[in-house]
Amino acid sequence: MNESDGLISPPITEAEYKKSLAELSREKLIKRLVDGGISEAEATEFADEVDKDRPQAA
Amino acid sequence: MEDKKVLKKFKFPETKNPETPPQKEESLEDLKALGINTETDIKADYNRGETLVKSLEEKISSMEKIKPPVDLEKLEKNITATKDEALSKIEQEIKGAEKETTFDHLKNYDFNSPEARLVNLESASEKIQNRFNEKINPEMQSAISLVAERVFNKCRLPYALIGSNCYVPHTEYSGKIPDDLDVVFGINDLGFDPKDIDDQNHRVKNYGPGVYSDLLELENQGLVKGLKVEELTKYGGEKNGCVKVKCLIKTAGRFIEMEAFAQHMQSEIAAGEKFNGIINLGAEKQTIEVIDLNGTKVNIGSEATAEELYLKNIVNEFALYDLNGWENRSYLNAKALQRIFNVTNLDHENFESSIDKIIATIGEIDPPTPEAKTAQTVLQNLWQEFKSTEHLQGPGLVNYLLQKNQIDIKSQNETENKILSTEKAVDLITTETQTDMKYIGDKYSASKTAAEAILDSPVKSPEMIKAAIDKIKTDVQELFGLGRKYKDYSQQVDSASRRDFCVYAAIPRLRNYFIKPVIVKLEALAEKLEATL
Repeated sequence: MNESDGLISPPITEAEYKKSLAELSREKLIKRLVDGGISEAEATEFADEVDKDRPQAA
Repeated sequence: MEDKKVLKKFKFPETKNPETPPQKEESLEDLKALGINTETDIKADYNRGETLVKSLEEKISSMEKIKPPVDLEKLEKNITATKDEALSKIEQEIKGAEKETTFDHLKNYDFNSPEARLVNLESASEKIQNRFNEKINPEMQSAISLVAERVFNKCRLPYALIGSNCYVPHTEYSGKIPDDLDVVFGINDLGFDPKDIDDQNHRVKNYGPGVYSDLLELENQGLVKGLKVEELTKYGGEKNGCVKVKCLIKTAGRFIEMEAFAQHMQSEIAAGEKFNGIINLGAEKQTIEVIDLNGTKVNIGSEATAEELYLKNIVNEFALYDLNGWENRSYLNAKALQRIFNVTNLDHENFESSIDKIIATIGEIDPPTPEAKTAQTVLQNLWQEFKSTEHLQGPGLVNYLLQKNQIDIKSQNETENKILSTEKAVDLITTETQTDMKYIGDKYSASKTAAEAILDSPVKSPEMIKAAIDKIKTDVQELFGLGRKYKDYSQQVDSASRRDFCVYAAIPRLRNYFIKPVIVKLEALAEKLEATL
């Protein structure tokens, strides 16, 4: 009954994640992923998922 | 008596006997005189009678003013109640005496203490006794027997085994093998003041008889090692008066870890202290079942204790979450999943339909911190989402995980198979997600440190920069690999099968708060590195 069992915090805070999103556009993210060996379809699908976390334009 | 006298005096004149001849003829004067005398007598008698009647009337009137005689019905009731009370006291005395005989393993137990009065001590049923014998392995039994006989059965206040050694005997089907030993007992049986704990070496110099000195004795005999004590803290850091006693207990094959929690009980609560345990034995009504372990009697918590422990643990552990800015998102701690499963698997629960009830009960427990409240809401939302999500129509994640890990569950019937396979699948996903979360954290930390060192360095070679970018590419590929695995798991989930909930609940956290943000952050770092080329 160790109280800390399984309590692993996410390595990045929400604020850090938002900052990274602001630094990396959708296009840049897809390009980097594809350059790194990820298929275009998978990179696009990932970018779509990430876009949901981006601040929505007014 | 006085009335009778008055009545005797009141006589009517005697009637003359007509047959008795007159001795002498009476004269008119004589008759006149007799008439006067008779009249006087009659008047006097009349007056006396009137006085008597008045006197009686007064008596009656005064008697009417007196309160009515005692209500006999009420009196009978009082007598019956007093008799019942007396019988009840006698029965209690007899029961107390019987308990002292039945539970004579508790050598110093104060059966009349306020703490003992809150505890219902009973012999474990044959079912629980048999399960304990069958399901608790011999090494654990040996460790329990040692500390019960040499330490806890000497306590003056209630104690009980909690955790898996309490849970397993209260489930019909469980493949769980308890690997540690958890105990709760009264702070007054500890044998020292928590203020005397040396925070450096977690030991105490100034102690008296009690749990600590008994464990020290076992340590001196080589039966216990690594004895340490620490006062626990509330969420927020303030000490809460509950002392955790931790040590390893020697058995034939290995050392078994024990954590015993010395908590406030009724006397401390009455003195103004606060509850400082998840299970407040001796401060709230609880039932303890006594099992027999090869001649050594041992106290274990009841099924209700096991249920309360897991439900409160789930909510309390929410307070330990480092939400870290990720509020209002759906993620769940792996240990909480196991605890939810454990509650659904208790004897009185209907395994497949009990999650609804448990989620509702969890919502009623006071969360210790605002973060815990948020996490509590997250769990409820996650359950609603699971129930209502149409796309979760796969063949079933529990079975998928077992097949993937080539685990064949041996069972006697369908219910046992469902329970054992779910239990195993929860263990698998818990281990897998914990390993992956740690791996992602370590990988991110290493890449981030290397990238930032280059970015901050005044001297940067293109080779160094390219090497750091390539390292990030490799990391991202690995993270995508993990992402594919959990996406595959998600596609297996069948929301119509309630037993998929605990395994499903582990997945959103990993994908949303570990894999996705780390990939974005690493790519942002790679972009910065490339800009320096």
